Amino acid sequence: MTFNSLPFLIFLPIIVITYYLLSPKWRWIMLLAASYLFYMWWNPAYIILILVSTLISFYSSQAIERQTSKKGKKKYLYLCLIINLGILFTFKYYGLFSQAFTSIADIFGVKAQLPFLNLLLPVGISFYTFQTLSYTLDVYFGKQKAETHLGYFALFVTFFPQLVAGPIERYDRLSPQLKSPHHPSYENFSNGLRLILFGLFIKMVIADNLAPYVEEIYSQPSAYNTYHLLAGLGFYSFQIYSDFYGYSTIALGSALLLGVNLMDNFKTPYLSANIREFWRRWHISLSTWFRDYVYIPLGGNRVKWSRWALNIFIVYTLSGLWHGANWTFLIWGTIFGLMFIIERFCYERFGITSTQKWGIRRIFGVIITFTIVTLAWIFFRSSSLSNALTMFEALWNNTALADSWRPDPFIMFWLSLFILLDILLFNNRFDKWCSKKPLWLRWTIYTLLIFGITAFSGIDNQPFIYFQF
Amino acid sequence: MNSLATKILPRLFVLAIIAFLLNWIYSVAFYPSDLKKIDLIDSLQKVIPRSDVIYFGESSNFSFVFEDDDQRRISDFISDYYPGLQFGTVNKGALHAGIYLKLLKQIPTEAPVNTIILSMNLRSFSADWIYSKLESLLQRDMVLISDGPPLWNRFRLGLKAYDNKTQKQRSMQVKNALKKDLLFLEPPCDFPNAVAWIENINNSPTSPWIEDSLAKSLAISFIINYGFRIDTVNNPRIRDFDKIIEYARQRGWKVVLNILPENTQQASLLIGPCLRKLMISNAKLLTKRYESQGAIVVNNLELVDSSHYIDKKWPTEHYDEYGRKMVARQIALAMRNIYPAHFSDVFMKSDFTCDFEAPSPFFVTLGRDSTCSHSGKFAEKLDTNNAFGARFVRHYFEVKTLNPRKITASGWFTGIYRPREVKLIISIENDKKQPKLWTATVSKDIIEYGKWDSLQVNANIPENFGDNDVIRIYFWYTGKNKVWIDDVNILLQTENLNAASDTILLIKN
Repeated sequence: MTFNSLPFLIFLPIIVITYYLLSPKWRWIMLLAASYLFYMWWNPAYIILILVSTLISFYSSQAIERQTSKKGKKKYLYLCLIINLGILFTFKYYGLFSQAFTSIADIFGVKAQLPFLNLLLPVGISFYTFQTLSYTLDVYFGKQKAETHLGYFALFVTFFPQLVAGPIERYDRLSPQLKSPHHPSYENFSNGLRLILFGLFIKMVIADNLAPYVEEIYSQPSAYNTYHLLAGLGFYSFQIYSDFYGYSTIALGSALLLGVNLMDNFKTPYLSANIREFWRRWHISLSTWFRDYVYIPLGGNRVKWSRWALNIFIVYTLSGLWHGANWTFLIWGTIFGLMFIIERFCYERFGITSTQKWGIRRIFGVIITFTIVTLAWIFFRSSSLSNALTMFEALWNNTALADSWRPDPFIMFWLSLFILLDILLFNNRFDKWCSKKPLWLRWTIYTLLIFGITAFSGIDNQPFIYFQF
Repeated sequence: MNSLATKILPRLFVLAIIAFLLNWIYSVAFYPSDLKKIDLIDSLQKVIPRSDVIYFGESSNFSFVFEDDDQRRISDFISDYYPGLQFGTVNKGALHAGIYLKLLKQIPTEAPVNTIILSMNLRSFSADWIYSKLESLLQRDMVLISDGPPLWNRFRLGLKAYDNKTQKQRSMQVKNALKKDLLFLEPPCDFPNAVAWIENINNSPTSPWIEDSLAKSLAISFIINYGFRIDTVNNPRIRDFDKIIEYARQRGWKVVLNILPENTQQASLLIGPCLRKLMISNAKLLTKRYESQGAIVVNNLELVDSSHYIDKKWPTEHYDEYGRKMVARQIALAMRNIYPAHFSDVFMKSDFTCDFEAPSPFFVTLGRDSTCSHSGKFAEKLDTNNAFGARFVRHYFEVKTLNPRKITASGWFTGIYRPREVKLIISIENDKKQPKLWTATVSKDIIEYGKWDSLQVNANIPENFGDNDVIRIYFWYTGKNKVWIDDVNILLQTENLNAASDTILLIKN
């Protein structure tokens, strides 16, 4: 089930009403069943993977807690990591691994091929795997007590608003909220509905309408001139942002209707003045996950410069690989790692830095950062390295004369409105920002968003981009 | 809880008013342009106000080969037989009865439509078509014209709230249906279902396909597409056609169902007689069922010879010009009962005139122009960009009922030209590589410009003329200025010309 579908718009109110009608002690059962139903709507068979992941993480964490020796704890941690990451590897990375294996064997003159596995990538596998891993690691490091109630733990893993595309929550943040006996609150309802409305708007009106234009540009870059290609690349920057931001916002709104506050996953990332800031504002739940479970255990920044650079490089390369089993994602991740290192080098050697205060310097930083991010998206969007290089070549050559790429004026209007709202929302969340506005302005915005969603949403089939991760 | 209700209810009321107002704004300002973006609905809306007859069809209607002299659609060929009636055409690839029904419901009661012709494609009853990957797109196109407020329908479109399945899901549906549909065939083809039939082709050690993978895959395609027995209770196409007949009865429309020709010859050749028998049996079932419901059913299943099918690598209903014209003729003949007074048999037509006042189905005219004319307001302008005028092409199968032996072509022209620059040509092509030409040219020395002159040429049709041999007649201007032609006439006569007068030059001032 996707958020921008009629079944979900029927499912959500039923769940919310039932949730508040039930006694708090039974709510977890209803939410768990609803979450499984939500997931099984897509492919019932793959619920088994979630169940396996849930059971392994639950029991291995209990075992870790029971162990007194570090060795004993490690044994169960490794067991949990091997099974969870093993499932992730098999379903997501086996294809890439097999391809790389064949290529390497070929270099040594050996004709070797691993067996072909025709597996469909389960929706949201990276999200729920990372969420369960964070819990096990927290238990291992003693930051978190192991959960004793399997039902609540299963709900933590599968809570439907954030199950398939995040935000990747931490146990200490989400679980107490799931156990808390929430009462219906007008504030939660109004804020939740505002977020859902805004999320649907940016997914259905912005992302889904930009998608066909981006597809056109990427399907044959050499047919378009540099100006069209640059516009198309800009469109993709906004498509992926509004697609993922839209999904996260609906997730936040849906959870809020149930009294649960999920973490913000985006904070106007395209207004970042440098790459470091960009990653503090983009997919925050993943960035903080890598910070807490990879970067800091590797030594963080309390190490020598060269070791720090290596840590950064590892974190961003892994972050790239997290997105997909393709060399393009690997390069996309390393680009950000390199940019991060270059930024720090410039700061330490030449004192070049950006500022939080709005002014010419910050605006310049925002433009530079947006340009780098937009160009890096080429690797993210391209299905192969050669396609990405074709795009760069076409950008450089500017020989094509095609002028058929003309975005609809209405789409440009809605995109402009979205950009304006994004600027106004700087360091703010839509629901909270809206609640401070006068009644007439609030309702004008609601009316505009409703009209956009109902009359101007994209009609082509555009699944959420991050579902594939 | 009460305070919550007092806060929520007024807001819901305001939202309802907003929804009502937005629906009104959308209906007035955006809905019509959204409808125009959907080609199927747009073409229907264009033909509704001016059509007595509407032809609904899938790709069989408009598919052609570049070698076709006349690349028009089946529906256009039918309209040639009824010059007094207005024909409209609505066609799109993979169209089927479910979509026809939705489109028919869009025809307002005040529309002049009184007959609908629906192509009844046997393949469209198969699981492969019912669960086709193209179905999602067709269903998407229909959302905007569903019942309900326009804004709600547009919202549904954004939510993809229609029969919107992925290709993988559709493939699974096809596989399941092929297993489930029982065939009830007699030996040697007593396979329970199409899957077993295909497995037999794939696995049989004595299979003749082992050596020829192309033939094998084509045979499998034939079984997937035609290896079913129509289930009159569960097949959705049957339900849709039943509803169409009922709906047409309520609206007072005549219904003509066109069971399209299928390549039964190739089916027999590839698989043996079983599949052909099954196809014939399905077509008979449809004929019987819908004739009993009052429709005119034209069973063209075996009308077109295998050689006239365009696609050789997979089964389709795409025919060359001959095939399309033959289908059109059968439909036109069947419609005689509905419009006896309007029927004019194109195959019996011997006198063809083109005065350029209105487009003529028998002549291709690219330079229609009102600068000057011999009669009426229009003539055709010929110059270096449009050197050939009033092109007339007739295959022998279209005229052989008349048994014509002689052709007379004549026409008027004016403009700036020199001797032999304006030609009227009859080309008899029973061997397309070396056509036999009869040419009339202006050979006189003194030409009075500004006057209308005429040319006439006669030719004999050879005795050994075959069905696909061609009579081609046209004006040809080889000069660098401009001439205009008008009132072109072509006469097919049964008497023979004197052999000596094959090439005739006539100048009338």
